[in-house]
Amino acid sequence: MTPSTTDELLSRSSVIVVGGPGGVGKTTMASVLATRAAMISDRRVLVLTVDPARRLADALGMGLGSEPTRVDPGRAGGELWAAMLDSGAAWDRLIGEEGSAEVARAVLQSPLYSGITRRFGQSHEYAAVQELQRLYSEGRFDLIVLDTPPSDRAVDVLDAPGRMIDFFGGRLLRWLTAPYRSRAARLAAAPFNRFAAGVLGRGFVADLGSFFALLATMGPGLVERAREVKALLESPETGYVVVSTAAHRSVVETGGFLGALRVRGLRPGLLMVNRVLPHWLGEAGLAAAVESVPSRLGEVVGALGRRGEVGAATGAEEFPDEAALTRALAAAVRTAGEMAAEARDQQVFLAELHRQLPEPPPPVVEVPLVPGLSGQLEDLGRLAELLR
Amino acid sequence: MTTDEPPGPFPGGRRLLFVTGKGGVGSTSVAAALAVHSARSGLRTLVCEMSEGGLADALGVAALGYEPVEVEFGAAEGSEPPVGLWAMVMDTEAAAHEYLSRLLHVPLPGSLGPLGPILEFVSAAAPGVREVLAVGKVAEEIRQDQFDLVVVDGPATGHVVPMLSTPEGIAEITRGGLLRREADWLTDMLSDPAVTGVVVVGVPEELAVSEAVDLLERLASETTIDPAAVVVNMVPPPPLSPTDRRVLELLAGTVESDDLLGVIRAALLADRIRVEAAEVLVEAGPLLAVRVPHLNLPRVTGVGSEPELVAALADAVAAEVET
Repeated sequence: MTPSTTDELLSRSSVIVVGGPGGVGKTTMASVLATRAAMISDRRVLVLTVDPARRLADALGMGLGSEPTRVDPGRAGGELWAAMLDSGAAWDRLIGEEGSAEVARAVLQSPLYSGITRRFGQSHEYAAVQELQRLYSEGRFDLIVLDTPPSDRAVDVLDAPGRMIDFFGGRLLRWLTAPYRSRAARLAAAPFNRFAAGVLGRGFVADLGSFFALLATMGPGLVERAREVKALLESPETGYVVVSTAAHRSVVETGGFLGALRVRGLRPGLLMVNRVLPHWLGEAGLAAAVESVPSRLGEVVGALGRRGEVGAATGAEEFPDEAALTRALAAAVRTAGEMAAEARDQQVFLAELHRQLPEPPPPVVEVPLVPGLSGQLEDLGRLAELLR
Repeated sequence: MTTDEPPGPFPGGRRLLFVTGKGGVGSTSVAAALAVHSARSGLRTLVCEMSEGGLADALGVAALGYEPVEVEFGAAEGSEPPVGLWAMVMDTEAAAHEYLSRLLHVPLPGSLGPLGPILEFVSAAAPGVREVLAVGKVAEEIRQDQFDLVVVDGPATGHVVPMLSTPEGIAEITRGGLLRREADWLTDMLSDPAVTGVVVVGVPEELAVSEAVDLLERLASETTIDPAAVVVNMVPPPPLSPTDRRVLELLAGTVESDDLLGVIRAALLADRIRVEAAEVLVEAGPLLAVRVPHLNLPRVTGVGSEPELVAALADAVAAEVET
């Protein structure tokens, strides 16, 4: 069942959920995967990103809004589209579709509504998966790559539909909305309301109650929608890509995310390790050279100095003198030593990432750290070429 | 933001610092380092993580809980181990329990019993209850003078503005009740620049910097909280000098010895990465140049453990604060 290559995962999925710790380049990697998918097939691919950094938004031409926009990475056989999540708009649409005109208007006008949907925990995560479900069911795209919201816990996305179901199916919502239903319900809920009013203030509890009474009228519809979202996230058509970096904190958080997938019966389809330094930097050869070069610096400089004429012959204006050579080589040794230490750290963390993977392990792609990458569309194409 | 006044000292006598940054910038290590530095300077310091993450790891302790525990943190070279460093992890249910006992003047049983799920519901449904409880707990430590400084390893940038603007928001939508009273005094404490400040952590990468700039703007427009400092973490050493770079580029084309060539190529690759970071810092300068102190903390490599990293960062904080 585990795909053996990135291309296989991309070809056989209808949805790819990209998750992982914050700051590892999830949005860029999601865009690179979508670019790759459009490159290797004639499918219509959408990358749905949340909160993209400005530079990437510019690269993808997403200044326009939350509706999918066609972007052209140049080498695509298929089509690449991009959209940016607007979680407020996603909530407004959901309320508009599930409530009667009158209820929807009342909900949208409530001062509590924006507080709750735009601020409170996990509403952004739910909006993201709800939007994924909507675009999926419209059938306009063959593959949707979802870049998950920045979140202290990447698994919030996976849990969002379940929370929604619990919320609208739960007893507590009935207590809070009791005064709006019957006398018996009112009596049963009285202790709860007295307590809540003491803490929250009577007026606020009344506002909350009437607001949730409105929302509860669309409860069954919202629960149904959340069930569809949950089914899509658990479907075999959905693949999970874990993005990480070879750094201590990312390794720890990636372990947490992999564990969360495991307990939900889900498997990672691909691990992408971003910003990996070339392996030779961490190998023994460079470390030995960093050790040995200083002790024979005089000899090296002497030899190079004698070859000054060779340098002049290659067209260099002026071959550096011994003092300049000595200074430059000392700087090189110091800098190379620091780079080697960093690369060795990365190797340790890479090995730890591999150890955390389930058996049989999914494919692992190392995305090299490329200095000078501007983040423009052509760079996404360049990185996508590297994924093969 | 446009005055020419030089930034004041850091933390300038503030008592409550919220440390935040985009994921991956190391804000937990920075929060721990600020706390260690503060404890080494003789202040009774509490560092509090808002949701369980890397703080225990950073301080080298097995686990942290809601009750602050004193942490023996490794000493800086040649100095005594810091005394007076405490650490905790926020737990909103425990905070609720403590609040209700205090505010309702009734001792509550160990478990909230039936109140537990009610509170869970209310805090899920009513915007901001969780935030007020969490921020209220750390603010209370200051109000009761338990600590000289509380460093909060806050939520990531996306969540910190909602968290810090909540007390004000609550004050707007409630008309009474305990929550309103809590919100009122909290708002006062949070908006007092002599007491509270936000430390924005970034790294010299374009995306992280633009996020830090956005956050400073949002803090200014959506909250009444003062920025206390901008910390740029993981700053690599400076690039090669232009002369050294020219010489090495020339040698890369003429040297035949493999080991020497490896050293030169590694140095030139590191240099390209560092040049990029340096450019980001130069470009970010004006953007981040609000009247707040600016601390650069180095990229630390080759340390064996998180506490060693934190100790190195605390040394760097000390050097930056003194200059």
